[in-house]
Amino acid sequence: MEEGNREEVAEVALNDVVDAVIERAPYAQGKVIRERRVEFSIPAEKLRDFLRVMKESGFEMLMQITVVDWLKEGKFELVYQMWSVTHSTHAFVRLEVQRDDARLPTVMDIFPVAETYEREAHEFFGIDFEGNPRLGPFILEPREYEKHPFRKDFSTLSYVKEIYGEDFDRYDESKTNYVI
Amino acid sequence: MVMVSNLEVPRELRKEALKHDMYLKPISEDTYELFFGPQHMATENFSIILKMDGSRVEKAIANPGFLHRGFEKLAEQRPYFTNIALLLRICVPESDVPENIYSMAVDELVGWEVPERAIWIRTVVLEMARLASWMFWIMGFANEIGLYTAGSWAAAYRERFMRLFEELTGGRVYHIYTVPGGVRRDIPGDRWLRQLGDTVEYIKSKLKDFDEILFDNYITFARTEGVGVMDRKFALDHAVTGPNLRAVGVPYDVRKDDPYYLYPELDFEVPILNEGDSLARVLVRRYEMEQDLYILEQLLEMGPPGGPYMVQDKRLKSLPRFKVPAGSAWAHVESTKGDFGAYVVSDGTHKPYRVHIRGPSQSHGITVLEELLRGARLADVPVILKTLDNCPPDIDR
Amino acid sequence: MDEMKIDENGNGRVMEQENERTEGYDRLSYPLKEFKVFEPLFRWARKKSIWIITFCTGCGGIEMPPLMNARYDLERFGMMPNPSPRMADLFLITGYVTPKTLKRIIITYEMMEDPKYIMSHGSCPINGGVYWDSYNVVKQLDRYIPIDVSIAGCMPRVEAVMDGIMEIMRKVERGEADGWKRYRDNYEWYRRNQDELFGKGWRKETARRWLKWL
Repeated sequence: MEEGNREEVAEVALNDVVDAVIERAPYAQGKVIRERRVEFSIPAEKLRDFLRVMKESGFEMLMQITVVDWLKEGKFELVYQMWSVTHSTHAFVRLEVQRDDARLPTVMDIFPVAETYEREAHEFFGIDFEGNPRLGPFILEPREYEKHPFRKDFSTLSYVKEIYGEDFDRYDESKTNYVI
Repeated sequence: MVMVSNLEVPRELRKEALKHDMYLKPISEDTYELFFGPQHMATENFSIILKMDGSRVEKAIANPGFLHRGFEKLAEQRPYFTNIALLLRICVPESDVPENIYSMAVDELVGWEVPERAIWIRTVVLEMARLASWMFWIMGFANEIGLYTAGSWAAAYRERFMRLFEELTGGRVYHIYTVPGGVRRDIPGDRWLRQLGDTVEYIKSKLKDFDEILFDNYITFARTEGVGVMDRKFALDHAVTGPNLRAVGVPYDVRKDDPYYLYPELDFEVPILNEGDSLARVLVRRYEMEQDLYILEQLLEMGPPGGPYMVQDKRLKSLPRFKVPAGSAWAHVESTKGDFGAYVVSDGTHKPYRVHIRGPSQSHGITVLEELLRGARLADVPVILKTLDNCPPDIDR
Repeated sequence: MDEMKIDENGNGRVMEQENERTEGYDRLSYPLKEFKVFEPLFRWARKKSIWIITFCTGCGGIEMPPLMNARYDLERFGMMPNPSPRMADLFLITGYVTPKTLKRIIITYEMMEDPKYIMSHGSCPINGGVYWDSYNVVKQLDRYIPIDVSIAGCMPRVEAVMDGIMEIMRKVERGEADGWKRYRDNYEWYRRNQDELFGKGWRKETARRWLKWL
């Protein structure tokens, strides 16, 4: 019984956090997913403004920038994963950009660690973060970097065949549903 | 030809170096470029390019990527359960952590209530992995500052955990043990639990020796005090987590702040120090080791609850075609290196649509390292690397 | 002519050796022909003092410390980890190799003095292992550098690694560990494979890449 009460209290407190953020950034939509998880969706052009609001509302750490390639919709979904030490809460900040010619402003000056995440997102998905001076081959070699290998239209199987020229007995391009 | 003015390089060596185009390279009159790693013991296949002014680092550039295998791409092509055998290779010294975060995220997506027994086993495995990883870290760090005896001891004590892991899971380093819905095998028996208790007791008695030879040693203090200092704001801005964050006075521990498994029921403390230098980072790790031993003792006292060790579900009959409902989930655990997280996106098929792993070294190993190295002496570079506990495979993935 | 060759390849050492090979005997093993009598003694001495270069190229590196330390104690075989490639005899390829690492492996290997041996850990250097469809893992390492002994499995147990090392020692004693000779004799072939993978002139490009950041 007591447990349940505590959970309810936590959720009410979380609702307050979300409301406070939305009050300062009315363009955003936010909701509480479950205990310690909240979610915001914002338009791409408001990114810098919104992250600044988030930082001031107690979400101090940018844990990761996740890119999801929705090939059919022709969109990249970016999830800025943030953690608040103050509220002990994880926030997903979601936004979408067009898949071809994806551009976003950098958030390096707000969260210096974003430099690494943006370099990575640029390398694997080819998203341009305007204002980040260090975009370029980072983890990959230049040849693989040009392919942006985490995009859904990059086939690693045919690439392996092309580069290493191996004919594996396990290798079968015609199989669409692949079980190792 | 520009001469290296402040460094006496024999003429033949310089000639050869220029011919090979690989080694010391004068950039201007006073500075030169130095490749630190990947062929270096401290870096573990990770490279730092240093712009040196004499023996002082003027600028450092981290050069990761030697271990990139494209896990996240490969995970999109394999079924959910097969991915366990792949993703655990992200964190080599602590391979249970990627298993667990991925399993937790899939559990959340499917909506499974993992059985109590599996939860207990997972908690024990995570804590054992933490202790084995601490031992590995002691070994690396002690060898870096020249205290080889402590390093040898730690390597020997780590073997005890390796043996226990081998009996429990069948593997020494890669266990492939935690799977979505539970664990793969049951505990071997009471004898194993007794052995674990003995090991915990033994390591606990040996902590005193480690104090004398390593943590309370004049050499450790001389090598680490005031080296690589960061403050609270810097640490939060750079998303520093784990012991490195607790060394600047922020009491953030995933086990307390976002509790998972049995941690809400366990009694332990989160040690913090305020100095933020390498010494504070070393000592925080020392205190955490003690807490981990205490946690394992409590878990053993609690004993494994009865019941199944795997969730009972008809869909598990054909694993390759096992489908997960569409959605996304984030799960993270506290590893010895910091906050290890996984973001799994499912589109309702039998393969994940996207798996994204957040390794703590992504921030520790790139931006933080580059900042801390600026102005440091060349001899301090390995110390800073080791006290940050940089783990290259989780940067590269 | 010689000078030109060195410039093109960016590495003079191997070419020098290749010229000497034509003289009919092995300069490195026998500076004087009379020393051939002592060959068994040399082999025995080499077998008993194999120094390992400390280059953890993959996940297998985590099994090296237990191998060197208390439980398995490799030093009783006269083996020692050594940071300098110039002094090392044995190169352990501990696990999968990415193209980026392979460049460094080749450079380090060419810096080592003859005779030199390579042992590879795990399935990945043999055929790619679990990374058989990964775009960034070299599939067949033997095409780029010569390997003397391969250990299968993932991850090979410490006992398996020790077995591999014993095998290397046996081969050294019998004079069968001839990877370095193969590399010298078939240098053109290895070189062509390397250039096919990385593109021509990769040695210079890799070194130059970072200058603009500094």
